[in-house]
Amino acid sequence: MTRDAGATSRAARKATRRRVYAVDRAASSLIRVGGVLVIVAVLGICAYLAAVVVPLFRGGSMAPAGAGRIEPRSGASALALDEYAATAFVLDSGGVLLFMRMDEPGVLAALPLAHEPPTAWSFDESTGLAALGFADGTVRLATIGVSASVVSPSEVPEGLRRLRMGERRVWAAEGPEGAWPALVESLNAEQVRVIRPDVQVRPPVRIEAGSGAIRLIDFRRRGDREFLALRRDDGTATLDLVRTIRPLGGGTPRIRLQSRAIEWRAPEGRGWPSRLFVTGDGASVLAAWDDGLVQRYAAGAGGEGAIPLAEEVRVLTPGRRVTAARMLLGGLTVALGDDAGGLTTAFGASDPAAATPDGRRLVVARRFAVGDAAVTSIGLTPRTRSIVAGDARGRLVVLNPTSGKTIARDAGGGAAIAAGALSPKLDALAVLDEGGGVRTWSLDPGRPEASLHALFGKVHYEGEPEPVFRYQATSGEDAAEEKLSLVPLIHGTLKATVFAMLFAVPLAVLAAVYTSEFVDRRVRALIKPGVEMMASLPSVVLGFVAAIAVAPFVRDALVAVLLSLLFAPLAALSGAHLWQLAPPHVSARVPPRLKLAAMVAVIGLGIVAAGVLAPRVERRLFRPTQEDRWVLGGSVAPVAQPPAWVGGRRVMSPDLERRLRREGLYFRDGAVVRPVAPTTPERAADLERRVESMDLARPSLRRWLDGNYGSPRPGWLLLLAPAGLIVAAIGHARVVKPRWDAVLQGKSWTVAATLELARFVSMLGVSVVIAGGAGWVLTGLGLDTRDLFFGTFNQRNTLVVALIMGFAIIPIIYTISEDAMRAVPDSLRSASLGAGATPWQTARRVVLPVAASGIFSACMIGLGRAVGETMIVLMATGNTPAMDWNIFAGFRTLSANIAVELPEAAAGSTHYRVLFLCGLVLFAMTFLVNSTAEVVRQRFRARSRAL
Amino acid sequence: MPVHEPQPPSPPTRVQRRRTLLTARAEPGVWLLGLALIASVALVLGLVAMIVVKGSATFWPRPVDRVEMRDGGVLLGVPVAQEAFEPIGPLVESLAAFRAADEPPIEGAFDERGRPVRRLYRVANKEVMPEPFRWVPLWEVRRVTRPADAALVERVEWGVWLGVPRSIFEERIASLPEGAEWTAEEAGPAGRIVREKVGEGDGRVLVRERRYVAEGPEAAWAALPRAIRAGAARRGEIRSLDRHGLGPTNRRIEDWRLRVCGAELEHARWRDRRAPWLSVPLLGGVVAACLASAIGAIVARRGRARSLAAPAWCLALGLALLGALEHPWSAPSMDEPRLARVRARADAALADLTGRYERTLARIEELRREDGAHRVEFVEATFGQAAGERAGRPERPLLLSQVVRAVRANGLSPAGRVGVYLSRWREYLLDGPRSNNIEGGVFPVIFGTVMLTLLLSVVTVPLGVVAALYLREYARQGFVTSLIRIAVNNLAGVPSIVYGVFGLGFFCYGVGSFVDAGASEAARLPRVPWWWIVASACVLVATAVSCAGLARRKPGQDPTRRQRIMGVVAAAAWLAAAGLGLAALATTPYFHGLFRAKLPSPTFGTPGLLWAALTLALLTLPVVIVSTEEALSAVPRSMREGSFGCGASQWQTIRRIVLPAAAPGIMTGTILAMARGAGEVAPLMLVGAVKLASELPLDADPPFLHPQRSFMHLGFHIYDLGFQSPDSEAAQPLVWTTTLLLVGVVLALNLAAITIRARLRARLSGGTF
Repeated sequence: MTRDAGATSRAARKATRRRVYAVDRAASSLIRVGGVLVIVAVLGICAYLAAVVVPLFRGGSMAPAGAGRIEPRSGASALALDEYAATAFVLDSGGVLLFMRMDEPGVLAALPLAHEPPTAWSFDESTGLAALGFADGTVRLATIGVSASVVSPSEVPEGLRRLRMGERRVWAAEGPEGAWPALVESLNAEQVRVIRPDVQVRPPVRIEAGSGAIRLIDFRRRGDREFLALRRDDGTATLDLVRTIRPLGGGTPRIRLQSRAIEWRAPEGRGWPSRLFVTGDGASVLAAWDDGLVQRYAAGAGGEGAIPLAEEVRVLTPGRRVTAARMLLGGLTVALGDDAGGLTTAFGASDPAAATPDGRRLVVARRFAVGDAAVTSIGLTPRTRSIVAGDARGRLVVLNPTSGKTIARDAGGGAAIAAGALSPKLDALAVLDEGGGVRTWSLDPGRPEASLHALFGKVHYEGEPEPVFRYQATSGEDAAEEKLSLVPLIHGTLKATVFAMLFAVPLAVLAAVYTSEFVDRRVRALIKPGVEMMASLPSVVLGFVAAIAVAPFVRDALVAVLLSLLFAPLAALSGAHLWQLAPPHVSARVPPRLKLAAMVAVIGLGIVAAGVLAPRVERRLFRPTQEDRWVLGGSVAPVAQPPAWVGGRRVMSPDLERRLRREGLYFRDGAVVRPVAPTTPERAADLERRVESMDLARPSLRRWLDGNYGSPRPGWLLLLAPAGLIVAAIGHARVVKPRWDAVLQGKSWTVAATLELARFVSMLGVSVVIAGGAGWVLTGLGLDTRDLFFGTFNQRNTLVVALIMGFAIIPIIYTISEDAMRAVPDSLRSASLGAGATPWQTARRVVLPVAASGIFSACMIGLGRAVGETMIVLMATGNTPAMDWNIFAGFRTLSANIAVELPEAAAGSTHYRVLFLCGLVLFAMTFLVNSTAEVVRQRFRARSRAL
Repeated sequence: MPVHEPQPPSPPTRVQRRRTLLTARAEPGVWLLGLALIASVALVLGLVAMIVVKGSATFWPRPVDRVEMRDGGVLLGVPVAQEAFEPIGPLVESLAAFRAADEPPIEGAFDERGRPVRRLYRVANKEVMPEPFRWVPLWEVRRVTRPADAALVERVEWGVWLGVPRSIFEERIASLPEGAEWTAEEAGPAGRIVREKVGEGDGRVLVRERRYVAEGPEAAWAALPRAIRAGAARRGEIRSLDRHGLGPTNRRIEDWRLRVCGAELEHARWRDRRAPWLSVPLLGGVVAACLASAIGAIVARRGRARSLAAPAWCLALGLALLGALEHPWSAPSMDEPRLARVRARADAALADLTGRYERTLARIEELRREDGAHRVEFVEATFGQAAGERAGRPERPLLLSQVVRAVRANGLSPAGRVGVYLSRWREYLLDGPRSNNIEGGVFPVIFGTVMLTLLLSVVTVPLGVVAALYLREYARQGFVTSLIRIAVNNLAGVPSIVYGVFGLGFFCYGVGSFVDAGASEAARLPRVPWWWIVASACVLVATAVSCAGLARRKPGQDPTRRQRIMGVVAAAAWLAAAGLGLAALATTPYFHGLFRAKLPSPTFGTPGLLWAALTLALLTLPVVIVSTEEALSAVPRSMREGSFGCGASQWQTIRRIVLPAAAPGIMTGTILAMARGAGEVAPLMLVGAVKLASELPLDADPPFLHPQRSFMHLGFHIYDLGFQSPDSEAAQPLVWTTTLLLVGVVLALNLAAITIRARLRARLSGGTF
């Protein structure tokens, strides 16, 4: 794009033209390329975030790595892999432990754990614990694992020193008879790794109770407690706490069993259960029959007697038969495979409604389909919750039962799978089929814990009675499930935004209207830039002030703060009604600034009134009821028949206590009681005196919020007072006002103003009546605000965030909506005023409708800012990912979650990608809001241009 | 636009008064609006006032109380707060006992409503006191005095000490032959001398000799200022030797170690290099193909197939590039002898440096010994213990060089107070932090913030201006540009933490690790060989060039349909080629990283100043783009047309006419971007701000600017000190001051922006054009 240079002489034109042309071309292409690149780069952010997130939703894959054969063995067996997926153990039903290498499957060594074949055995590969039961009633316990050490090449035999990187060789260890061979792997020039089996067989222990062979056995550990459950031929069943006593000076350890009998009650017409499990926490013993019936014996129900039967649950759908069963990692969830290719998980969950001695209930959590043939094996891994299921046709499915994600599948074909196992790092997989064939795979697990359902849906986590939304990405132990639902975080984000907007929008928009329409130019020139500057106040400053100054203030003056939210508008309204008692020719003489000062004074008066009245209101409303005082004073009687849902509980949560109180009952010292009126006046006086001196009985909003005492009515009153005012005002505008204007029509100014004042006072009365009435009705219905909008008070709560985050977005909303109103052409205003409308009417009927879309877009931009605000919520809330609407509780937003967790997350891990997903969700939310604002704003621009 | 004046109620004529209803004026409604404005302004003013008051009060010297309790306990403390309270626990009994004893309470022990009052004292003295702050119920107090000789000592380590000075002395250990005569006490010309035997052996006796410079509070106070100055000088000397003597030597030792390490890595590559016999034919082939396509291009240019010339040139260029990368002599040349030479040189240098290091260390040791002689005793009230050299060593009194400042809190004249106040401000602004950031200054923090802001504006302003110029001056206004504008506006609203997430993932872990170590195995695209990517990029460039050629039209002509399609194809091909080029760069097997020798500890592959600046630059880019665009669109069309009419080219017009006219607007955008960058914290928590950076990102070490270092930032400092610090209660006053500083910086920048904007508006609407 060049234009002819306007030089006069031909020569000069030529001389300049070439250079100018070249520079222009260069500048043009540079700017084009630069501009496009900048814009592409800016848009690339979204693409990059998505690229990091996408692998979360990808499945894994598996590739065959090796195949071999071990001596065919009869019966079921178990399989476990070591940390480096270099070796595997097979425990066969004859009690022989086989050690084999993974890359060329074949037996390296075999060790019989006992001299005779066991009659029952169990093996838990997540802890390496094995238990063998024998015909004579003895039990042998063993810990099976490998020890790996990194040594210098000089410590291994000559022939194994110069291996290629990653090559593995067998080192048949010399030494005493029965020593295990080791596997030597070269890591680099200076280091080799030696992997050697580490098997510790404890001395046999004889079971005292009962007689006959041991038929069923299960052995499990959690933390440092080991539990052994078994059943003998004569039907005796016990749960034993295993104590291994190691003599101080070394020597063979002794085993002591602390037994509790199980009160065995077989269901009608059934024989032996086919499987027996003890849960990892030792709280339950599960017995399963082949048709999917599971009995649960509650060891955790308290008492020292025999363990009672708690419940009987049919875990499988009728018609199916159990073909494989395992306890999953952590030992709390049992997985049952059935003959139709289904896999079902179940676990004990504490449930208030459960009618069992220990208040727990066996719940069926999830069902998966492996294939159409019987599931014959379920294999675990020690560190993650993924499992591998194999079926009778040799088909394999690797899946994660928490997220429900299928990681990889192998169509298989061939012999039924007898045992399978995953490596601890989830990078390898081995199975053993019925014919003794061993196959191994290398596994790319992808992201087993993350799936669309796990991230956004309700998941049935271990120990929960029903599916819930929960976020808890980091936990202390491997066995815990990763809880990755983003819903609590999104909920927190929305909660913060909603409350902040509730506070900020009315304030900002009304202030903008006042500035634009009712304030003179000089005041505006002062206020507007001041408020604008506040828009750039760093949010870390606001967060700091919120947490250090505002939160303690709100804690100490909670009632006053809440009251002043109500009293300040009331004061302004009363002030206005008093102001208009003065005739217009008097009030018009008052300079606008004096009027503003009067407003400030009146509002200040309102706030002072709130501060003065607050202690009285608190004493009056939020005090213990008469029944509460009786209970506090100890005037109670025990209740013979507590509600069924109380069960055997010894501890109650505040909302459960409130539930009890709704029935007129209390919970005290672990028992349900009923308040009783003191019988004699002396006793009553004594009780009153005692209660007066108690700290707990002092009226306090915070104690009331904790739910320790008090009736629900004051809460409704507090909540409904502003609502009642609004309802009354709307009712007046709709019903009374049209007639009212006619009433006022002929009256003199003073009379009219007095009538207005009377109307205002009556409206206040009506609103109090409405609030009180509605509160009474709602209390009567058994509803309590403390279950809904109020609740336990935390110092860093939503109210504080709403105030400060509202403060952060007020300037944005204010500036943009003020601009929108200033953009309304003055001709419209002049026309309206000229036609006799008052400034108020002009503002309401002319300016506001024209500027509405601009104001809307201002609010949306404020909303976008509130959604993404990080520092304020990070500093001023407790950052607990809860899912309630309690205004006195904290929450955790997406942004705060990123700020808290991302610096600790390992790059590339699932957690890291989930946090990127948080970022992407945040991006999407703000993108939606901002785009709406932008589209509306463009429409608004077009319209104001047309005006 | 004319400004609307609010309508004062018109003079009440009879007719109007009857018509205008009272309710039409809606006075209550207007008052509600007024309430909103008053509340907003009051909130703003209240907040700023609170920050100013609390922030500026931190350094004001406060009196020190000596509190004598009824149970005989004594403590020295700075009163901080006071409140009426409801006693609980053991205090209830204590109050009842007090009431029963019927002793007169001190003034203010009960408030006007009779409630008991407690006072919060800062008792400091971390080594001996269980808590830094203590609530004292006033009924338990027998007497409160303000002793004139109480001192508030600010120490280099271990925080504040409250006590009374007892003595200043010089302490030396003399080794005398056994049996030598020495007196236990004598009066020297400069003060009393006390000697004490502290050990013996090898026929010699060790005698500790204390020469008192000043004894008693008054004498000590008189001698303290000089002693503290001398101590500060010694401290400064030791620190300077440590920093400028040991530090650089250490770094050079590390440099040599890295050099050897790098040479070894290169040697390993040299060992694994491709056999030369394979390279020669490969290179031959590439060179031949390159020459052939160049000749082809020349022939095509001369002949009829001119459109083939450009692709052929591209092909030739690409092949030449590949050849250059692949040629055998570009392979690492670190063979055995070279490696040996590097090692030998390193050994020589290391020997020299280690010697120097030892010598400096010895000198520092000597200075420390000398410094250890000068000590001062400040005795606290509760246990009568003097401040020790270290915690748990009360028998070795405080070193004078450890005293930063000793304030005679109750004996200060008003001028003295102001002096202390100013000197604390000076220290705050110019010194580094002490004792876990809780004390001392914030100079590195300010420095880090300024560096970050400057760096970010250096990046963001040119990019933003170029993008805005493109959008406003070069791009055809239409659907696409308005889409881009929406996108840019949108990005201005994207939460800053999202930029932080992006910066951490892309810059730190992506680009940073690439710079450190080259393309890792994981980053290399699977299944697609690098050659293919390069080859396709070349093909795409060729396509783009030829399509662009086909799309070119004569000035003033409307494009034909074919030219339009070709233009789109060319643009798409350019973009795709750029993408493939980036992919080729990211997966190149020829780049092995600049800091591989330092691995596994990352250099650039970790949060740091550069990445923080780039992240914030991206964050503030929309601000600059939007405000520059606005400024450009405010330049009247007539000016451009005038310039064109005089024969200027478009670039000349932009450079000489448009940009100068838009400069204030661009400046506004820049300042707003800087203000936002200075106040933003959330992304910095992820990409580089740290609690304590030991080194500044700019110093006297070559290459002077160290963009890979992490840095301190005012905003993050507030967050960290106020919330993550173990002693955040004691740190609070300082956090308020930091808050004041940050608010001051940000508001000053904004004020500048607003002023410039106002001037700009006045100039544009003033009709000067």
